[in-house]
Amino acid sequence: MDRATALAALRATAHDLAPGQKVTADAFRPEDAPGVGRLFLQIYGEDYPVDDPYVPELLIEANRSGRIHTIVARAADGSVVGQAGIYQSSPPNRRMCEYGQILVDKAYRNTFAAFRIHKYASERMFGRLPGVDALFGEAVCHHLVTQKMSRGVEFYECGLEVGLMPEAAYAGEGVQGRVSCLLHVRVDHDQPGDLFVPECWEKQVRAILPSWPLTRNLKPGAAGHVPPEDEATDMAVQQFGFAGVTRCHVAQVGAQFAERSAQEIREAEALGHDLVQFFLPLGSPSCGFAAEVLRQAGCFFGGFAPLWFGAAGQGPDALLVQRLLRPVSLAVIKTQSQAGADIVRMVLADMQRAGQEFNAPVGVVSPDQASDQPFDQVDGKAAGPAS
Amino acid sequence: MAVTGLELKGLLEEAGVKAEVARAVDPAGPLLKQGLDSIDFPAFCALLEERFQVSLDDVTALKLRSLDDFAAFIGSAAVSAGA
Repeated sequence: MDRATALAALRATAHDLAPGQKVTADAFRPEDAPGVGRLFLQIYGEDYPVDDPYVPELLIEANRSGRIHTIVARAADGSVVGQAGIYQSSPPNRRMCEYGQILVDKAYRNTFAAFRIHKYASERMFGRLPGVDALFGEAVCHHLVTQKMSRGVEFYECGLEVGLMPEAAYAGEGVQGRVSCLLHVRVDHDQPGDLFVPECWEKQVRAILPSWPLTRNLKPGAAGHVPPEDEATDMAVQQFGFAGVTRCHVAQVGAQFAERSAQEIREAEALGHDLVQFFLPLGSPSCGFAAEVLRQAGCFFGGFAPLWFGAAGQGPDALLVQRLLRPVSLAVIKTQSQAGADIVRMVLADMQRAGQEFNAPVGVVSPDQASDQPFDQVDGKAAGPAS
Repeated sequence: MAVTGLELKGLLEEAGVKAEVARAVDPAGPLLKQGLDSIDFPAFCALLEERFQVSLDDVTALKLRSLDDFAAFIGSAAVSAGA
């Protein structure tokens, strides 16, 4: 079944769920697939950028293969009233999965459905899934609900993706400005390796590094460590048009990195994007060189992402570096932990530094104070542009 | 099983409520007005279900506002189970 056929079937069978039923969280079963599709259609309409949730065969196969681990909240009559996913997304490391896509049917927002899903995931899946070494999440910062879910389940804040999501993605939530997301990572199976700490963001990386018990061989990532002339830059670029974000994964830093990265920044500007992100391989001796190139291009520190590359590229870890492409308004940035607040302060300070030192565009945080919505009133739309 | 609101207060921290918030809770007052947030509340409900072997559906849970309310619910559930 293709996407169009699946959507037509979902439209034809669309219905409201009977409210007030007892809800139980459980792992996905093949018979849940149409219910998951119904949920995505209700919340995202027909625009969700991935086919899997809409097409039952694809979702069943993805769960069978382990590419996606769906958790559902099932009502007593078998209806799917909520779901979450643990799934492969942006990281080049296929053994690092995203935790997100927490959706709850509109008839069950005033229940504990989302909590039950999260409890099931944290007790039955986190740290237990075969082929999964690490999990990450992107928690929106205009409210605290998603961030609070990282409490007590060993997700540690490690970056701030400034202005990652457009205001339009949260219509009806009173958001003014682009929404920033805290990156947080849980590591279950470490992969030891080299970590060339870039000179220009050494303080930031060293501040975040102790969050997990990682085994790393720390080495100086000197800005002057230019890659050999014959080494090519290996960069995979993802464009998220609806989010206005360009994301570049640099698996290898080559001698022409400055030209290549400048080209990507120009292309992102030409596309009208607001944000460009670079994930640099901290296992590369030339990571410091690349970081300095980007710093001089007006980029600022975004985060340290353990295991982001894993065995792919010169990993295992990534340095997130970002640049705004125009001055933007940012929605209020709330944090629920001291570690999160420290990272926000660190990243925003470096953004201001980039503005002052290189006249790079900066974001202005909205004075609006969006409310801390109750858990049950949030539909849990996935934060990441790749979700 | 007889349990008091004061005794349940000791379980708040175990459910993940910050220690300073848990210590200040008045068993007779609404929990959501005493610093428990939208994650703490369902976590506390889930802990009570496990600890006291009671079934607490979401609709009922949202009607129980204070620790004393929860204690009364657990007491009545125990009486029903024993009847």
